[in-house]
Amino acid sequence: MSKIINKNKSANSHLDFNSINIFAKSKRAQVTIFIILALILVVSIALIYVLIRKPTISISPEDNPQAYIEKCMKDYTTEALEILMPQGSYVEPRNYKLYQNEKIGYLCYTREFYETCKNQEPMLMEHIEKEVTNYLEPRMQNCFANLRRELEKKNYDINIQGMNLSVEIKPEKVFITINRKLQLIKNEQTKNYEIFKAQILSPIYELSIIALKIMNGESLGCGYDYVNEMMLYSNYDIKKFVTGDSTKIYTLKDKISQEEFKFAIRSCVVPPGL
Amino acid sequence: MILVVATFAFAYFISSAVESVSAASPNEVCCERTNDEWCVDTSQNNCDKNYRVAPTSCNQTSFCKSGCCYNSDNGLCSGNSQEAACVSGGGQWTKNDIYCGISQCRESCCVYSDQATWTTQKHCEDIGATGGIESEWRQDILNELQCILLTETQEQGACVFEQDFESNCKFTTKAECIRLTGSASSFYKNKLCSSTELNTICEKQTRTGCIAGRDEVFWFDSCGNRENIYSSDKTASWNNGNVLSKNQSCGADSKNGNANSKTCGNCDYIKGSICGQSGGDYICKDLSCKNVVIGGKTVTKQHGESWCSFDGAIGVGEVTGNNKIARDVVGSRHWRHICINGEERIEPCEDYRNQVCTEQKEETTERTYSACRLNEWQECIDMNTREMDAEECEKKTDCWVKEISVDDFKFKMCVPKYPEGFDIQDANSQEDAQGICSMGTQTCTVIYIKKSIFSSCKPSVNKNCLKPGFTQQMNSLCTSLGDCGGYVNIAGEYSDGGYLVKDGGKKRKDLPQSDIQKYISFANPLLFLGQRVDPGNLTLIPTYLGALGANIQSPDSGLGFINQLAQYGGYAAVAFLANTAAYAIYYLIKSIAFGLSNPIGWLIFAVLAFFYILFGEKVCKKVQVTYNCMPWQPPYGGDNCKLCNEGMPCTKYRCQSLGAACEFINEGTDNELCIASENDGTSPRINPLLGKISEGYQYVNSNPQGFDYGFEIKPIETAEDNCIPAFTPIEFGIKTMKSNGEPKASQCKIDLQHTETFEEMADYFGGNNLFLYNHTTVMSLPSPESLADYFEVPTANILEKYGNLNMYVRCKDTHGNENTAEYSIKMCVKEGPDTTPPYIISTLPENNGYLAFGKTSKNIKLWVNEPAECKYSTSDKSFEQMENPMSCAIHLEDYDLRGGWPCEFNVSDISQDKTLFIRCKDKPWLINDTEEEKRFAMQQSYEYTLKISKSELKIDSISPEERKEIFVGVEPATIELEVLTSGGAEEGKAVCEWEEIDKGWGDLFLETDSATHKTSLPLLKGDYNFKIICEDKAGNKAEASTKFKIKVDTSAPKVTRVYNSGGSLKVVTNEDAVCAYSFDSCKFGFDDPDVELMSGSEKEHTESWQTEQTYYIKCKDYYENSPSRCSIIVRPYDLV
Repeated sequence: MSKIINKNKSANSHLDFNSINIFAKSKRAQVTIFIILALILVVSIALIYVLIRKPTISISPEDNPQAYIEKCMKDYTTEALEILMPQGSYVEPRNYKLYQNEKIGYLCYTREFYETCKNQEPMLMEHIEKEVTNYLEPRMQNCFANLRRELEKKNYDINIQGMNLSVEIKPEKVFITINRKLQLIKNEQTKNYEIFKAQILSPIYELSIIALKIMNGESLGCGYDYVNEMMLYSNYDIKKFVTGDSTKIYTLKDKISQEEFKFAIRSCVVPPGL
Repeated sequence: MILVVATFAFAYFISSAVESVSAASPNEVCCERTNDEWCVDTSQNNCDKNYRVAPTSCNQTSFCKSGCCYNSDNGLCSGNSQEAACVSGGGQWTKNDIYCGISQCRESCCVYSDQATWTTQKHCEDIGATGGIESEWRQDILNELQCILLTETQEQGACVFEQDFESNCKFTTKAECIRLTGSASSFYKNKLCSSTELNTICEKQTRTGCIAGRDEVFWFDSCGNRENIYSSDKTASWNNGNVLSKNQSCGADSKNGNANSKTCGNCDYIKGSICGQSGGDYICKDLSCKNVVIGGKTVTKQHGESWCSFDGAIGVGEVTGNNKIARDVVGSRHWRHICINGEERIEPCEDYRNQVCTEQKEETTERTYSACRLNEWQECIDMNTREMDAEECEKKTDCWVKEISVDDFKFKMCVPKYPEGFDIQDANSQEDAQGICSMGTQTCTVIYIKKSIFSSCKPSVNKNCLKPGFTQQMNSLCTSLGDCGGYVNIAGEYSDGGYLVKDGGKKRKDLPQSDIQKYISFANPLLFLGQRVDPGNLTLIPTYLGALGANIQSPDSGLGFINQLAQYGGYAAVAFLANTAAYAIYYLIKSIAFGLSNPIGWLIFAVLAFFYILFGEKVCKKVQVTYNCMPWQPPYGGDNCKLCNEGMPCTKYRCQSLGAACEFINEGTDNELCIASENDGTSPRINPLLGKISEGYQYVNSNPQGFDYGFEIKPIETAEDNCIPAFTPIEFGIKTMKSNGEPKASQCKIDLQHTETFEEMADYFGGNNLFLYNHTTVMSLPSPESLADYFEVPTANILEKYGNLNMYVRCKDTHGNENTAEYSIKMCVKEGPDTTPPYIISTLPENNGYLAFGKTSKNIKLWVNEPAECKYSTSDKSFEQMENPMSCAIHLEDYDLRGGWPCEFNVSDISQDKTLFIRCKDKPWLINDTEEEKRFAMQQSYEYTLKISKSELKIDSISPEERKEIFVGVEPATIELEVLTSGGAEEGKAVCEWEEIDKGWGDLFLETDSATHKTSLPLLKGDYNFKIICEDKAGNKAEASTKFKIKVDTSAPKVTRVYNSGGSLKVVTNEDAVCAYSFDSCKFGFDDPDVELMSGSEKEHTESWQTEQTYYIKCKDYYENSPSRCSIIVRPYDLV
C-alpha cells in the first residue's frame, strides 16, 4: 500500500497530503469508516429514540424508587397539561367548539341568544387541579405497579398502601404530592417511603388568571379589552378569533415558555335575523 | 281576470305564511347541571342527578341565580357564577352580587419582587407566599396603569458575601440578602455590585442583555448581576456604581421607547419597544408594524394601534340623486386589525354584521383605536312597530330615516345603517328574514281618472308608481332593512331574486342598470376609503396612552375585570337592550310586517271624490303597484364559491352569499372550504306534500301519469259540487326532489297563466323565494259574485272562465336547473251563491284590550275574511237591528295585507268596561239592491270588550331614593335599582325602562312586566341621575326620577390617639373600626391565628397594658380598608 501511496504522491505532487491520503484509502480502511458511520448512526437513532419517546422511566427503580415515581409524576403532569391547555382546561371536553380540528372547551357559555354567558368554571384553578389529578391517578397507579414489578424481579418484598394524590397550581409552577406508604425489604434491609413530591414549571396559573378576567368580562359585559391587557402585561400574548357562529376562541400564550391556553366563549350572541 | 284572482288569492297566502310560531316545549325543566353545562332549561333526562331540578325555567329558580364566587385559597373572584358551580369547587358564593362587590374582591396594586400587578389582597399574599418573596398590597396606588408603571417596585442593592475567600456579590432585595447571608449589614441599598466602594470581584458592564419581565436592555457585571439600563455612555449608565432609576436613565422622554436605538436601552413596551436581540446586540426592538396596507397604501402602525377594514362600502350612501341606501353588501363582515408586537392581526367582528367595527383617532399621538361593537339594528326595526318618530330614529347611533316619496305615495321608515345579514339556509333565520324584509313590501295605489266622457281612462294619482323610480326607491328601502331585495354580494355579483314588483297583477323588473352598476361598485372596498362607524358611547382610546403623553384621563380607580365594564359599559347595556328589545320586536314584527297599510290611498280617494262632485271627473280604475320585498337570494350555481377560500377567513355566511349552490364544508377543521354542491343537471321533481293539507281536503291524482305531473285539491266528502267554498283558506303544499326521490332544495313559483319559463312566472309559491324542500301555501279564492261585481259582468260569465281554476307551478334548483313543463294544480270555487256568512279575523286593539286612563274614546279596527258591511251595538241583536255602522272596505281590491278586508269605527263616552256586539254582512255591493236577500249576515255576534284603566299608572317608589348617599367600600358598587308601580290598567303591571340622563345609558329593567321592577347595575363613585319610564298595556305612562350619590371609602382608619387608660392600652381611631395587634411585626392578617383583636368595634379600642411588649396594631373599617403595614406601633415602655 505504501508503494501505491508513494506512487500517488509523486503522481499528484500538487495535491495536499490529506487529499492524497483519503484518495489512497484501502478497502479495509473504507470498511472501518463504514463501521464507524454505522455505529454513529445506531447511536444517533438510539439517542433520538430515547429523547423523543413518550414518558418512559429511565431511572432504575431499584436505585432510586423515589426518583422513579417523581419522574412519573412530572412526566404525566406535563402530559396532562399538554392535553388540557389547548382544550379549554378539559382533558376530555364535553361542551366544546371544534376549531381547526381542536376541541376547544367552553369556559363561559350560554346556549341562548341575547344572553351573557354563565361562568362554567368559576373555580378554574381547582378545576384544573382536579382534571390533572384525575388524569394522574390511574397513571400513577400504573407507575407504582411497574415499580413493584421491577423490584419484585430483584427479589424485593414490597408493601404498598393507599394513595393520596394532590395537585396544586401555583405561580409559575405546578406541585404534585403523593402520600403513599411504600416499604421495600431485601436482605433484611428495609427502606420506607411515605411522600413523593414533584414540581414542574408551567404558566398555567398565570394564564388561568387572565382566562378568569376574560370570563368575567364576557359574562358581565359581553366582551373584554384583551389588547389593553396585553399592553399592560407584556409577558403574555392574547389572540381572539370570532367564528361564524359568534363563538369566541381565545388563545393565551406565555411568551417565555411559549405555552398556550385556549378556550371558547359563547356570550351575548345575536342570531342572524332576530 | 286571472290576474285579479291571483292578486287576492296569493296575497292572502303571503300574510298567513309567516304566522306560524313554534312553541317552546312544555316538557322542559331547569337542570342545575347537565353533563356539560350549568343551569339549562331542557328535558329532565338531560339533568345530572347529583344536582337540583325544578319544573320551571331557570330564571325562576333560586338555585340558578347568579352571584359572586370567591376563591378563598388564592383570592380570585368570578362574577356571574352559579352557586353550585362555585361551591362544588370549594368557593364561597355571594347571592345576587354578580359584579363581586364584596370587600374580598377589591383589587389594588400588588407589588412583589420587581413586578407589580392589579389584584386582590389575598391573591397578592398568595403570590408572595408561593414565591417565597415579599409582596405588598398597596391601596395608595389608584389604578392599574399606575401600578404597572411601578417598574422599580422594591428597593434593591448589592448583597456582598464571601465565597472561596473572595468578596462576591449579588444584586437583590434586602430581604433576599438577609436570607442569603443572614445579615442585613451585607446589604448596600441602591449600590451596584460593581461599585468600587464595595471592592467585590464583580467588574462593571461586561455585557448587555434582557431580563424576563422587564422591558429594558441592561448592563451586566462580570458576576452576572444586572446593572443599570444600558446606555452607550457607560459612565452615565454606571452612575458611580449607584442604582439609576428608569426615569433618570437615557432616553426617558423618548416617545417611541428608544426603538432601534443603538445608544440607549431604555425600552418601554407601552411606547412600542422591548429588549431583544438584533444582529447579536441587545437593543430596544421596534414593535411597530411596517408595511401595513390600508386602502392600497403602505403605512406604519404603532404597537397597540388598531383600525378597521371593510369588504366594501358601509353605512348610508347615495345610489342616485337623493335615493339613499344602507350599503353593506351581502356576505360582508367588519374586520378589526391590531398591531401588536410588530405583527398585524385580524380579529373578525361577529358575522352577519351583528357587530360593526368602529374606530377613533387620538389627536395627540394620531394613533387609531378600534373595537367591534354591537350593531344595534334591532332598535331601528323596533321604531317602526309604533308610530315612527323620525327625530328619535336619527338619534339612534345605528339608525337612519329612509324616506319614500313617489307623488303622493310618501312614507318614512326607520332602518339600520348597517343592515343585518341572514342565514338563508336556517329555518329560524328564514322566518326572521321574511318578517324583516316584508316590512319593505308596500303597495302604491295608482288611480286612473276619466276627465270627461270623451277622454280616456288615464293614470292620474301616483302615476309615477308605474315607473322605474318607484322600484328604485323601494329597492333601496328593502335592501336597507337587511339582506333583502335586489342587491350584490361580496364578489360584486348582483342578484334580483329578492324582490318582485307587481303592477296590477303583472310582474315587472325595472330596476335601472345604472343602479345595479352602482350596487356593484359598493363591493369594491378600494373605492370607499376612510369610512367610519360611529363609536356611540364607547371610548376607544386606551387609558394607557396617557403614558405616551396623550391627553387621557386615567380613571380614579382601576378595577381589574370590572374596569372592562367601564370601557364596555355601553356595550354591555346595548347587549341587554338587544336582548329585551329583540324579543319584543320578534313578535311585533309578525303583527306589523304586513300591516303597514297605506293611508295615502284612502286620503287620495277622499280627495278624488270631492273633485268628482265638482268637476264630474270619474275614477275609472285603481291599480295597485306592489313592491314585494323578500330575502336576498344568491346567484344560481357555485362558480364563485372558491372566492371565499381566498383572503379573509371564510364563514358559512360569506360562502352562502357567493352562490345558491355554495356549501361551507369541514367546519371547525383546519380545512374549512366553500365549494359548489354537485350539479345533477336535472330539474326538480315536484309532488304534492302529502299530509300537509287543510282538514277536510285531499290531494287527488288528476293525471293518468301520476303525481309527477299535477294534482287536484278537492273536499274529502264529495257532495254534488266538488269545489271549495269562496273565501275559505285552504292550505296545501308541494315537495321538490331529485329524480331518485331524495329531497332537493328548490325555489318554486306559481301562476294562473301559462308561461314559458320560471323567470316569467308571477309569484313565488307561498310568497317564499327561499330554496326549500317543502313548499306550502294558503289560498283563499274570492267568490264568483265578488268578481262579477268587480268586473261589472254577470256571475255566469265569471263561472265560465273561473269555475275551474288551473294553477301552474315550476321549480328551480340551486344550480338553476328549472322545470320546462309546468306542474298543474287544479281546484274550483263552489258554484252558486255564496251562502257562508263572513267572520272577523282580528281586531286592533285586541279583544279584552285596555283603554288608557282618562281616555273616553277609541278608534277600533277589525278585519273580515271577505268584503262585508259591519255594524256594532251595545247589546246583542241582529245585524239589521244594530244601530252603529262602521266604515268598511267593501270592494275586492281593498284587500289589506294584514289578511282581510278592514273596517273601522270610533267608540266614545267610555266610562267603564265596554262590551260591543259586532256583526257583518257579506256582499256589500248589493246594499239597497233588489238582490239584498242574497246577502248573508253573521248569526252570532262577535263580542268585543274594551276595558278601562281605573286610575293613572303611578311610580310609587324608586330605590335608591332621591338625594341618597350610598357609602361603599368597593368599586363598582352593585346597586339594585328597584321601582314599584301601581294603578293603570292592570294594577301596576307595566314595563319599565331606566335612563341615566347624564351618561346616556339606558335599558329595560331586567325584571319587569309586573308591578315590581328590578335591575342590578355596577356603578362607580359619583353622582347619578336616573329617569324611570313605565308604560302599561293600555298605553298609560308614568315617569319619575331619582338622583343619588355613591361615595367610596377606600382609606384605612387612622389612629388619632393612644394612651394608658386605667391600666389598659386605649387606641382611638378617626372612624368606626376593628383593631388587631401582634407582638412580632406589622405583617399579619386579621384572621391569622396568633393575632389578637382589641375590644371595641367603634372608635375606641382597648387591650391590656403590657409594658415590656411592642404592639403592632392594625385597624380596619367597615369596608375592610386597612393599611398594608401598621396603623400604629406602640411601645408601652416608651409611654411609661
